Amino acid sequence: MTANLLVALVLTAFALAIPLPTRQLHRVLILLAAVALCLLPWPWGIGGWVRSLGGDFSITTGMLALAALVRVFTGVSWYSRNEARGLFVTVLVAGGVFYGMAWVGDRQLWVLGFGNFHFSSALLLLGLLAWLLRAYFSCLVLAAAQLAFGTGLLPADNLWSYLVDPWLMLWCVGWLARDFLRPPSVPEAAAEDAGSR
Amino acid sequence: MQKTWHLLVGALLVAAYFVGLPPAAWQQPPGFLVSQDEGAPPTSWHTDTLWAAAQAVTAPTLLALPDGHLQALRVAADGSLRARVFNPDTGRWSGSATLVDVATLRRDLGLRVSPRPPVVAVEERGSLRLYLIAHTPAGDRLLRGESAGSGTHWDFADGGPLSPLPRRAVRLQDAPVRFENAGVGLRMAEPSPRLLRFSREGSLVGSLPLPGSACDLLLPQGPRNAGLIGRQGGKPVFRVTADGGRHWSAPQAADLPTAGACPSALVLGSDHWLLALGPAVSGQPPVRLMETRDGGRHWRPRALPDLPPAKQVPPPFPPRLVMADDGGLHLLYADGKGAVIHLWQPGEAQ
Repeated sequence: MTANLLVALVLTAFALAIPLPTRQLHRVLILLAAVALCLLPWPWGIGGWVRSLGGDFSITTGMLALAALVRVFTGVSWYSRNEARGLFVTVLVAGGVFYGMAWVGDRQLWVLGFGNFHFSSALLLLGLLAWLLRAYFSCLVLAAAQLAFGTGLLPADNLWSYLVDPWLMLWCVGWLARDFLRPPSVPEAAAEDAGSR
Repeated sequence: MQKTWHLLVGALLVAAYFVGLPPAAWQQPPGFLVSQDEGAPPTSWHTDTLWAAAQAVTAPTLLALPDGHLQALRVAADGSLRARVFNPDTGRWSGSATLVDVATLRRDLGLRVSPRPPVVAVEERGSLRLYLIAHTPAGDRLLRGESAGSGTHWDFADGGPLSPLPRRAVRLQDAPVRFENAGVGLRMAEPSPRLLRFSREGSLVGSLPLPGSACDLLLPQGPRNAGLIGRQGGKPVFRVTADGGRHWSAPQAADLPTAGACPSALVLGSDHWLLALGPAVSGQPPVRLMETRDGGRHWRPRALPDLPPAKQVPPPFPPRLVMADDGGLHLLYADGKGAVIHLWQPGEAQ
């Protein structure tokens, strides 16, 4: 059910990212419809079809989708542009190394995801670094992924499946490309910084 | 307010760290479980045809049920899971029954899965488990089945993807390895040989790389000691470990005939193993049984009845060897025409 709920969040986040003149009520209805459609039992629910055809979404993707929805509904951003840059670059590098090693047949990193003291400690250090930098959304993403793994919220038994997924890599590439090509204007950056506070 | 939020997030990070670390991360990996040497029942062999060649059965497995019966399981071409039950008292098989069909499985899991052979079945302290790989367009996933004990009703759960990338060639190998903590180890061949370690509850908790080829068999001798029988350059080789599989010795030539398919093994004691081998060339018997009592240093053939020679090399599936609770020895193999033959020695109760 959690995996299908993540699908609903991601689909709605992408649907509402299309800049159409939509009223708030319509946005709420789109979100409710997506959740209902994704949670319907097989074969009527689209959650199972999306997961069968495209794979499962990670908790990180779900958190990013949730943050995007909160921003659409309330105008409040959970992260600043600088934090987003750091988060997306970190995810892209970590995911790139992880999937790159898996691609050439090396499973050393994948094995770490079955509950490894060193891997979890490295994640904790990364989280503490983000915490010291006041990058709270990155901290929440790391905490949510590890809490979900510890409680078995998704079907997978590997922590990597909670941290990254191939679609997240595309999201990171897309966001960073847009960020690189369209630098924000001064008022926009100021508004984002204000929103993140 | 900001300071409270700051401290709250920091505490959440530390709490998530401890919640996300499973208890096994603080413990030593469990040792291999070695059964007590029960010897060999000195009785004659019986044979019957389990599935005819026309049914084109792929990779059946045998499961010893807690009530003393045996269940033969297979994934049919339509993806359904079929079973027949063997009663050692009467020496007869029940009719073929569908344990779960694809439509039911998809409805229960909420996913478009297509199960593929082989299915690996494990009985541990009265609890029955099945592990099988199901294909989805996004990649292969692990399916776990659990039965209360009779083996007639199974509940299936999605175990998630078994590979970081959507590879289609994920394949489990039969003949599970048991651990001291009631967990099991299943061999996976793709992309490199490994032993996947499952907890007592059926969760995937670790992965141990294995040297050699996809068909290598891990045979426990003690909690940290095990042998690994495989092939190198087409010749049978033998490796040993003394640290639970972290390090392996260099391969040594094994005193075994060459097999044309992955072998199956039965651990009868710490140094007492039985190995079922398929034919390497046509004209050989469809299955051979080899026995060692010194941990793989010396092997001798175990007598089997005269069997019609194999015509199909390698056979469509490797032989499968199981010991029932009464000590009866049961062997499934493909005959020369592709039929599934059940060769068995009754246990001491018969």
